[in-house]
Amino acid sequence: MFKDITIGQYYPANSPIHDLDPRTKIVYTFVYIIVLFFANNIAGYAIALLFLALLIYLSNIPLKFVFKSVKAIIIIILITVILNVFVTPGYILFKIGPLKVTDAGLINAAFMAVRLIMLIIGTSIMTLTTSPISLTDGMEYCMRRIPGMRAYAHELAMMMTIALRFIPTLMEEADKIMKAQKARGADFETGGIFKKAKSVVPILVPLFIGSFKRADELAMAMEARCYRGGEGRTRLNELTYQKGDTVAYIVTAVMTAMIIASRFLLLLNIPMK
Amino acid sequence: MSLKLLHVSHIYAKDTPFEFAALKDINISIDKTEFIAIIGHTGSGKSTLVQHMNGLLLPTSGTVFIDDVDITQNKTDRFNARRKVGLVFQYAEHQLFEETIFKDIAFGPKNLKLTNEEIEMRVSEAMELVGLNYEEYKDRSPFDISGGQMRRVAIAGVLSMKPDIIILDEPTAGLDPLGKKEILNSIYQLYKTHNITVILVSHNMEEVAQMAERIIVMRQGGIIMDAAPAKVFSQAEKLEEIGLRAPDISYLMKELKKHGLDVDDKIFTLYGANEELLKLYKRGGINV
Ligand SMILES: Nc1ncnc2c1ncn2[C@@H]1O[C@H](COP(=O)(O)OP(=O)(O)OP(=O)(O)O)[C@@H](O)[C@H]1O
Ligand SMILES: [Mg+2]
Repeated sequence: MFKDITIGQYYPANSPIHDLDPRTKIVYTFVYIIVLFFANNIAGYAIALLFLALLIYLSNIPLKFVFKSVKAIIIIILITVILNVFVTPGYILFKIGPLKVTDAGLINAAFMAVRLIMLIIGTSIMTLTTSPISLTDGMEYCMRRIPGMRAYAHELAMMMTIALRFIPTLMEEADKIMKAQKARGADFETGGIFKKAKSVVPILVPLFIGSFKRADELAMAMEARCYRGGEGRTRLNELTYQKGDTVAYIVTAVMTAMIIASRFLLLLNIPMK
Repeated sequence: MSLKLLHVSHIYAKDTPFEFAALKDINISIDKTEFIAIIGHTGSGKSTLVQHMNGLLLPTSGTVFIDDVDITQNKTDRFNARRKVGLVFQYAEHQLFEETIFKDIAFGPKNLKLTNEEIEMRVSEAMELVGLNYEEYKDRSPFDISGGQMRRVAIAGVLSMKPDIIILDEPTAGLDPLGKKEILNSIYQLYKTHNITVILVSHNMEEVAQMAERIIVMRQGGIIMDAAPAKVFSQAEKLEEIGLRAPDISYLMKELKKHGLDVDDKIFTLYGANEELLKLYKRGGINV
């Protein structure tokens, strides 16, 4: 059962987006998130949507996988929508009991929902097209640029890499321990919450002991090979920007400019809403 | 007591890109007390197979009968099956979790809702069976003892359920020679004096040759041989083809015969070879 869970939902495929440098994708995603909050009218959203569609098209990822991430946060979207519909003041369209539904509320809620969905899809394109290892590599490079983070960049990235590496191992281990306890007549399915909570002890204890042992062994193995943290450490594969990355940065800049410009459409007296 | 697998197939991660057929149309029938060994190359599906024998894994297609009850149908039957068919996993010591050895071994009997006296009796019996002194070890932590002892505690944890069949998945993996011998002796005692059917998954042909009465050879998820050791080991070439081999003694006897000694080259145990060579010596067939 644990085997079915996939974390870091990387979807291997051949595409110009997959080939981009992880740093490019991280920067793009960051900019995209920020820029989304600049969009304040239909034009802005349309531009953001257009770039997103282009991204999805180029990434060669089946739409099914792209929308899977939205499913995970559907509840959050619903709550946001409901709150927005009822609490935004404006022209009252109709009332349900003490709750008032306003025109501004409806518009706000729609924008909010679209923004959240685009946000999730935008970020999940990054995780779908970048393997976890190269993603952490990219993060390490990016963190080094942040003042004050330089000293910790390597350690944080190393921690993330190790964690990612051990997630499947841990799941396998949990699965095996669970089966072993089941073979001794343990029952994880029936009973109330209290009984169920108690029944995980025979899984968690061995799992923790195993993890600590593994951590200890790994630390030893790393020290045996003279690992001393990031200082002065060079890497086997340096990240290098390619032509595609230049194009991607230009596209990012164009998108940013367009969305920010869209805010001023109203000032130019072009009616948008 | 009987165990039957009929046309059992198992596919891991079905309907995903990672689909893998680990078992293909397996048929096994066990209906008397036997010592059975399952051998096969790494990845041939041995562990997957044994997990079907007590319903921990369900076949993608096919049925499993324990005492003529089809355990693939409902959960209660599977729960009962686990009492009758005990399974000791590979590296079983990784499942220990209690504060004391007593409590850990008592986990199984407790799940069976037995009385306290009964539990105590079973724990002490199981500990003696695997060669751990009850009084000396019962209150110790299962994490303060050696790896070999931990493995024995884990085996006792399954024995305390009093199964009719006990399956051991590579019980000697990673132990030193003495630890191996002790565990194998305990297992053989179980079979000889307690009338328990033993199914031993093993990579060690010497172990298998010494103890098994029936050998099941697996290859890529299928059974390619299911016969007495003499028959299986007489086909050494076939075993080598799939990355296994006959016991060393078997090669030795063949070599001796090739060099003109009048010995039976079907012999595959140390004991048998010893007897044969003594006989030959007495006949005057060896000039020392
Ligand atoms: N949970 C799983 N998901 C997907 N594939 C699996 C899973 N467990 C095992 N397999 C695959 O099924 C095949 C059979 O595995 P199994 O563990 O039964 O082999 P084995 O004969 O016990 O090997 P070993 O001698 O190494 O213990 C292997 O190729 C393995 O990669
Ligand atoms: Mg195995």
